[in-house]
Amino acid sequence: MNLMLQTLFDTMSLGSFYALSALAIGLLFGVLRLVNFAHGDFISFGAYALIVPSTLTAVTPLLGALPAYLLVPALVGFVIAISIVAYLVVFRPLRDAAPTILMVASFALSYTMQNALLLLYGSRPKTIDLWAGLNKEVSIFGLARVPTLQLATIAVTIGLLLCFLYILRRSRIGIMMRAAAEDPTTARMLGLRASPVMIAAMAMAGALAAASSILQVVQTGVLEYRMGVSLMVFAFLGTVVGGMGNLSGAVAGGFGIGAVTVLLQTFLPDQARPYRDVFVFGVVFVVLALRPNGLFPSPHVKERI
Amino acid sequence: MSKGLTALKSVAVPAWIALVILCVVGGATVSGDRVLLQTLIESEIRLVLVIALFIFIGNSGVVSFVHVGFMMIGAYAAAWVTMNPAMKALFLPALPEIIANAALPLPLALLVGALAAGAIAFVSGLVICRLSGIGASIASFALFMALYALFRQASGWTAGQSSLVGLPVQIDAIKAFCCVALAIVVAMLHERSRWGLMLRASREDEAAARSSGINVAFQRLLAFVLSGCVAGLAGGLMSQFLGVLTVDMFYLDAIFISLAMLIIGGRASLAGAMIGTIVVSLIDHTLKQAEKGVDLFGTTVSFAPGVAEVGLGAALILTLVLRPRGLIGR
Repeated sequence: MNLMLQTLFDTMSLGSFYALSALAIGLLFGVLRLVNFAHGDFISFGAYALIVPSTLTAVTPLLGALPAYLLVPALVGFVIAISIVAYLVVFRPLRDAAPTILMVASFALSYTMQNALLLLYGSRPKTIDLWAGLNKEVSIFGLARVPTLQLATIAVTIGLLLCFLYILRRSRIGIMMRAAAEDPTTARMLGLRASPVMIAAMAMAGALAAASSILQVVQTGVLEYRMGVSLMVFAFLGTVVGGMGNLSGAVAGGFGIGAVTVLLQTFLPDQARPYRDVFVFGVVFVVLALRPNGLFPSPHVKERI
Repeated sequence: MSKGLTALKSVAVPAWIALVILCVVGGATVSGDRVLLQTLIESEIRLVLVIALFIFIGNSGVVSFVHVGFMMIGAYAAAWVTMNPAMKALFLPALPEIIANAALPLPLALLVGALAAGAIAFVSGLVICRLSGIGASIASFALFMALYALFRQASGWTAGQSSLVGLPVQIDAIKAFCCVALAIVVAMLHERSRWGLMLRASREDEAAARSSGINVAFQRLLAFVLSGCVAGLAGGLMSQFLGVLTVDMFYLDAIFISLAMLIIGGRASLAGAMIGTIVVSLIDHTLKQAEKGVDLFGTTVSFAPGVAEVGLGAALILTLVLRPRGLIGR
């Protein structure tokens, strides 16, 4: 019972954590046809904004010195700004290019951003204590002991997911975004202006990245210039497994990847556990071999001839 | 007439570039400048990798991120069959007996590296080549991360996160050039074969190619395996040139620079891939020198580490914006 409950909480927190990034990546793919390799680096930039740029080992807090009610909006604003600047400088000039070109451009942007962090902060990992109190464990009905952070992660991510899904379903800009995602040509012919929609999508992706930055830093307390890469890879897998261009599919796929990871971590025999990620990739490959378009393929992504 | 001319150009330009490289290699070998030779051999190995990328990406239009992983497989496979058996027993206790006792000559070792990489390319290609273009790219990236994680963890096979030392050093600039020439010939033969033609047709218009009876997934798989073998060859060269291997040599930096070379030069032609490799190698070398420090008007100026990489990243983005088909793209 105890193990079951513990596993359930781990699954929920890691799954929803991956789902946040998968939603951001799925959204940009839907609206901009952009496979955003730089998403992980948006997350890293957000995390590094907590400290003052320096290549020394000593860490001086920058945004990290603020109280939480200022820190969160400042960090979210910062990452949104990064995301919009990336759009204006790199992706907007390429808006008529093929998706492959956009993808390579985002890969180049990712590489540039990683090395900019290397340049500003040095290659050594840095540690930072952000809201360490959240790592205290609380007992759930006396059955399992769960870190407060895990509960907070679950609450925050599910709250954010619901909030963003609500924006996408109900608000004007959300409906515009979905229209642009589902059928860009028709949307444009009906008078939808592409630019504001794309900027809104980039801003949403930036806000999601900022949330991931905070959750990641509170959980691990370590900053590393490629910290966003592995998170991004799993989120990517989530969007591909869920079906490219299907937002609910991306969320479900990201959640599924997190769940598979936790289950493998829990139930793999000891000597196989270091290879957990390899097994996760294996599962993804089997799924894609059986369903090349993902579990929930979007009917709108298929090109019309 | 013009068709014949284009065909002639597609053979002649790479051949001329190869001839220039041969002259430089010959000159450097005669002069015996060790630093220059070192840089040259590194560039030759990169050129083999970029030609491998061209065989798949150039002809199919599908970007792959996994080829550096195939290179890693080739590098370690070549190391497994060339290392001194006593050293292998010490550093790589997990190797099966038949590999642990093997001590193959260089050409066979390179062949083993190429075939090992090709075999993994075949198995993974069965899945990857069935996906849509973008999906295939993401899956290839995931496969790369899986291979990287596997090689880092399997320390009984690869020495894990420390370096594998004690490999024979037996590649010189001339031997590396022979492999470059081999890669060029393979790429050309494939490009000009009916398979190459069918694959390029699918790149230009997948639906039209399909409706003309071209099995796109099969053509992609064929090129994927072939390019996997050539990438494995590049890896074998690298292991027999450096004498030391670490898994981290085959990570994001290697992927980025090889893709940058292909795309900056012009991914749709072999000549473009080759020119891109030469140009980016020169830029990279200059920037790396600058990081070490250059003498400028009597004072030594040096850039902080990372400047070269940021510069290259910006160069690739600029190329994509200004010349999306590359320097000599058609």
